Amino acid sequence: MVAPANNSVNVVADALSLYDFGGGRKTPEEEEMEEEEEAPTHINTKRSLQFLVISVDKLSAKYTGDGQHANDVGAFQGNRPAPVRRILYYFEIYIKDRGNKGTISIGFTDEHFKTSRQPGWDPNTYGYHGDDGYLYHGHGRGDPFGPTFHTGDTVGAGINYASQEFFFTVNGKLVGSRHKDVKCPLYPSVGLHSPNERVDINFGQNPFVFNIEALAQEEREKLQGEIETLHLPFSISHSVVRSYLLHYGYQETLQAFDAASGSMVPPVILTTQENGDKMLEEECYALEHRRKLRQLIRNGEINGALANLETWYPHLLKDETLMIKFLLDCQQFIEYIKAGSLEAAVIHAQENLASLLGISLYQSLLQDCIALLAYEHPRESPVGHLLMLGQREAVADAVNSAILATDPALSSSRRSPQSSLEKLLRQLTACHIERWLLNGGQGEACRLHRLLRGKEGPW
Amino acid sequence: MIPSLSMSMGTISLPFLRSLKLLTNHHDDSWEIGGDVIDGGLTFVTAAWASTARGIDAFFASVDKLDVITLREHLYEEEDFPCKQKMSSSKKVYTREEWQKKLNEVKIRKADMNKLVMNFFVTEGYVEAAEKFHKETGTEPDMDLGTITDRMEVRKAIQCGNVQDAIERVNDLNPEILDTNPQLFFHLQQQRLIELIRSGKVEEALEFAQEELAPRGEENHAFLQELERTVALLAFEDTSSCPVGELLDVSQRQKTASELNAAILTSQSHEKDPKLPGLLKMLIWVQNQLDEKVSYPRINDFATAALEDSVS
Repeated sequence: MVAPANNSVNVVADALSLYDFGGGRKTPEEEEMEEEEEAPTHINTKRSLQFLVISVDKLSAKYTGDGQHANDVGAFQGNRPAPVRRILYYFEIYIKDRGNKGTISIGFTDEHFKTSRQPGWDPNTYGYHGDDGYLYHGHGRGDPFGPTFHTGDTVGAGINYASQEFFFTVNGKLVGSRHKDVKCPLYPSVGLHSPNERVDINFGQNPFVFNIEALAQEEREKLQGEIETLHLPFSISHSVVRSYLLHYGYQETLQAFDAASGSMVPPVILTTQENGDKMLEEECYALEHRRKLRQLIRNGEINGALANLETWYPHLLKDETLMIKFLLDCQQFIEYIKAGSLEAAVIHAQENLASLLGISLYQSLLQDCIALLAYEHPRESPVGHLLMLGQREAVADAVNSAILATDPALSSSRRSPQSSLEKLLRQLTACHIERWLLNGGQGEACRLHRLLRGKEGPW
Repeated sequence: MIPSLSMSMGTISLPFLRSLKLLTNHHDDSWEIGGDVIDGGLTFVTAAWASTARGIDAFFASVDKLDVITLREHLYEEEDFPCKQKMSSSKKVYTREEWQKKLNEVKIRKADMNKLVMNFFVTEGYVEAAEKFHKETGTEPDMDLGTITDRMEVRKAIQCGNVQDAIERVNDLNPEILDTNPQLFFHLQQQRLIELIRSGKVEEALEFAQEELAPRGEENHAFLQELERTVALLAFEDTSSCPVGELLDVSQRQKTASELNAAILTSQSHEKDPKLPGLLKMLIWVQNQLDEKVSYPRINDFATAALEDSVS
C-alpha cells in the first residue's frame, strides 16, 4: 500500500489531537507560559533586617542605625521576586521623612543581596539613590541620573521586560531608564542609611502615582505598530483560507467563497505559479469524495460513510491498525446512544469494539464511549462531549486526513498532511515559545488560543 | 558531562561577566554550551570580586576535557580580564527534524482555526461563505450575519467591476465614509478608471482621468504617481505582459473592495481587520526576531507553508 500502517496512525493521531478529546493537553512550555505568577505584596521580614523598624502591615520602614559606615545600611526586599511574565513590573515608595541625609535608595536586587548594603553597590543590584540622584549598578560609583529625593516625594522603580530596561520615576514622572543586563530573579528593594529616614512602600495595594497602565499601553502599541508596518501580500490570507477549505473538504463554503471573490483560482497562483499549481492539485485531491464522506459523518450517517469508504478506499478500512474503522465504529456507537437505542449500542459494541479493548492507542476513547452507557443522562455526564457535533467533526477530519494521505502525488516528506493554516499557526506558536524561552521566560507570553478566542487584543 | 558542568559552576563567581559562551572541541566532536545555561548557572558573589582570575582558573581546571574555550560578550568594565577572548558568534542551530519535533508538540485546536476562518469571512463581508461555513462546520459567526449584507453588496459591486454602484451604496450607508477618507475615494476612482480601460472605453477613460483624477493628483503626489501608473495601461495593446498589468488582475478589485469594506467596518465601530492577516504578520515578525538568535527552518512561502532548510 502507498501509506504504511504506521504513517496512517500518525495522520489520524494528528487529526485526533486537534480536538483534545476530553482533556486539554498542553506542552510544558505552554503551561509555564500561562501559569499565573505571584507578585510581591509586602516587605520580606524573614531575612535578617538590621537597623530597621518595620510596621505591622510590613509596608513601612524606619531606619534606626547611625549611618556611620558602608555596612550599616538598613535595606529590605519584597517578599517575592518581581514577576517576569508580563510587559512591566513596577512599585513605589513614599518618602515620609528624608532623615538627616536623604540616603534613601530604590531599585532591584538578586537573591544574594546583603541587607546591610545599598541596592546598587554590589553586583546584580541596581539602585537609584536619593542623596545624589545617581544610579548605581554593581559598585560604589554611580552615574548622574535624576533628581534627589525629598520628604513628600513618591519615587518608583520598574522593569520593562519588552525593552529589557529598568526605569525610575519621581512624583509620577519618568526620570530615565537603563539597560537590564541580567536575567536572574530580581526583588524590589529599598535601602535607608541615615537617622530618621522613613518610607511607605506601595506594591500595588494602592493606586500608583505614576500612570503605569499608560506606559504598558505605549509599549504594546509600539510593538503592534512594528508588526503592522510589515508587508504582507494582500492575497495571502485569501489563499490560506481557500486552501483550508480545500484541505478539509468544505466544498460548499469553497464554492460560495469563490463565487463571492470573483475567482475560481486563488489569486496568489498568479504570482507564485509553480508552488501554487502544485498546492492546488494536492488539495483538490479526492475533494468530492472527502466532501461526501464529511457530510455523511456530520449527519451521523456512519453506515453510509462506511459503505462509501468500502467502495472508494477499501484499504483504509483494512490496514493493520484499523484506526479509521475503529473511529467510525465508535461514532456509530455514539450515534446509537444519541438516538437512545441502548440495546443496539450494546450489540454494536460487542460485535465491533470489544475485540479492541486491549489496544492502548484506542483505550481512552473506547473507555469514554463505553462509559456513556453508565449515565442516565449521558449528555450531562463527564463524557457528554462525545455527543456533541464536534466529535462528528473530529471523526470526519480523521477520515479526511487518512484519504489525503493516500494521495500518490504526495512526496514522502509530506505524508502527514496539515492545512497550510495549521502549519503557519504551529510555526507561529513554536517561534513565540522559542523566543520567549531565549528571553529567560520574560515578557508577555503569546497566548494564541486566547488571541483566537478574541479575549484580548493582539498582545 | 555538560549538565554536571553547569551544576558545578553554580558557585564560581565571575562578577565581570555578563554572559559567557563556551565552545568546546573535543576529539573533533564539537559541541557548545549556550550562553543562557551559563547565565543562569553562574551566581555572582560579592566576596569573590578580587579572586576573579582564580575563579576562572579553577573553573577551567574543573573542566579539563575542554580544549578550546571562547569567551563572548565579555566585560562591561575596564578591568583587565586574564582570559583570551575570541569574538565568535555562534547561533543555536535547529535541524529540520528537531524543529519538526517542536512543531509537532504544538497543539492547534480545530475549533480555533474554524473561528479564524469564520472571522475572516465575516469581517471581509463574505456572507454566503460565512453561512455555508456555519452549516458545514457548526462554527458560530462572531457578528450578526444580517449586518454583513450591506457590506457584501458593496463588495460584490466592486468585484463585478461596478464601482459607481459601490460608491452609491456606500454613500447611502453613510456619506461620511468617503468624505472623510480621500485616499479611499481616490482608490475607488482609480478602480473605476481601471474598469473603463478594461472594457476598452479609451476615450471615456481619458476624459474620466483628466476630469476626476488629475485634480486630486495635484493635491497629493502619491495619488499622481498612482494615476500615471494606471493611465500607462492605455499604452499597451497586450496588457497581460505589460509591467502594470497587475492592475487589471482580480486581486486589484479585491484589494479595493477590502479597503472599502474596512472603512465601512470602522464607521460601524467594528474591528476593521480580520485576525488572520494580523497573525500572519506576527509570524513574519517573530521569525525575523528569532533569526537574530537561532537558526531554524523558516516558513517563507505562506501559500504553501513549506519549511525551508535552516541556514547554519
